[in-house]
Amino acid sequence: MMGITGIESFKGDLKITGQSSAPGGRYERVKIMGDGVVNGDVDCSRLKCIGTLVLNGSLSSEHISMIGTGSFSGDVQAGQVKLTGTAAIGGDARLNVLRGSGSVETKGSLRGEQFRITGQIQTQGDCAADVFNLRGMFEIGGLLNAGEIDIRLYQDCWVQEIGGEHISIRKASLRNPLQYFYFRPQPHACLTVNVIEGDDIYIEHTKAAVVRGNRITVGPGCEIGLVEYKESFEKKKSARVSEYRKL
Amino acid sequence: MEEELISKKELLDLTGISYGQLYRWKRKQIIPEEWFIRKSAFTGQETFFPKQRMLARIDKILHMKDGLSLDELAEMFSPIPSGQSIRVLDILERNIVSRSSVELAAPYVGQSELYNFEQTLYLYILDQCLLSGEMSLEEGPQLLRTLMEHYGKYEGKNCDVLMIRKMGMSVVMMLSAGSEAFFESGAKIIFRVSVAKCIEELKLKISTL
Repeated sequence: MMGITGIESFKGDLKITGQSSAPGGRYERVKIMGDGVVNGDVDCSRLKCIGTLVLNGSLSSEHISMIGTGSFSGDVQAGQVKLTGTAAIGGDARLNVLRGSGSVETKGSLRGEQFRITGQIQTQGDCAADVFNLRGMFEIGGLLNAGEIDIRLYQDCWVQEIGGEHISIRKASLRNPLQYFYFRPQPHACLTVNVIEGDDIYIEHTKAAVVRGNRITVGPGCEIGLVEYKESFEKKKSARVSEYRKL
Repeated sequence: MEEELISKKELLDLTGISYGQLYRWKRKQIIPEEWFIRKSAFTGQETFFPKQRMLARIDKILHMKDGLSLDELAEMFSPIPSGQSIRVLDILERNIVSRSSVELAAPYVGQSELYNFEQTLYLYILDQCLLSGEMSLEEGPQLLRTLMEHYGKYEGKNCDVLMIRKMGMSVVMMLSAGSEAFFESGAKIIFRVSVAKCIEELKLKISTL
């Protein structure tokens, strides 16, 4: 890892204003205003970017604030992330708290504790968090595993599998006037998934092969192959369930 | 060494845990990723688990849950060695590793009052292999050297230690966990030890110190 200083205890700041490039290394604060390219792994306490950041390497930071576009070729590890814009991650991401609006994309997996996002989440691997709160759309190549899943569907979504304790998937309200101008939900948005397994499940507008759980409510617009439930099962009128059984 | 598998549904029935709990434990990495074995069944893809190991693990989680938080449990079951050092005196007194194994290992691991977790782990694995009666004392150093030289390369990922023997010649090797290995005829697998399992057992024994 390259650094601006070889002394462990002293860490300098990195500041890019305008258009410039810099080597990676250990920094206290990294601030990019404009268009920055950083070559090499970065380890810092705080990263703030307004504009564009291209990092050829991995990133480890306590606090990330990103307004604009960030692309990271390696893994990203962060305590808190506040995002307005786009983050593209080439490896795995471990983001403890992720909040904001925009789009998060990873080639690997996405793990953390709390995700509250308005916008889009796309991962090729698994996605795991204690709280997964999303208004928008998502595409997850593997398993979505979260304690509390609360999703409002804005557009068509795909995921292999969903597992968790409390799972709630609803269509976004079309009436909210604030959202109407820039981030408008599609009226026919639906989620396609193979298997959903959880304790409490409420789903709307979902196409699934199998849904298993303790208490299951299948809401409007669902097409489910098989429902297996332990305690209770409720099917709303416009839902289609081919087969259901109590275990 | 085919292990008996259990499907997810049978497992939940048998243990009485819920889907939510299972997924939470998976998320916290208390149950390792490799135990989720995907197989196609007539209902589509199904998940299976190695039965004995899974039941033992769930039993442990349920019994220890009162005393420890989930994160502490995760730490205990994680394949990453803990940072603590252990006094040789304690190792002997607690019978974690037998005296003969400690003496055998001393020239290789180094003579010290205090062993770090990795060193204790090597001793523990050596001791377990010797106790099983499948490995001779002369082969101990071979095992130790292999572990000391290569264990670090796995960087905390699960791995197994394997010993094969053919016509009296023994070879010790390390493999990543769950990988299959095949040998020419006449070669015999003497043992295959999961390092992750040893770490778990060892952590359990140390935690009561």
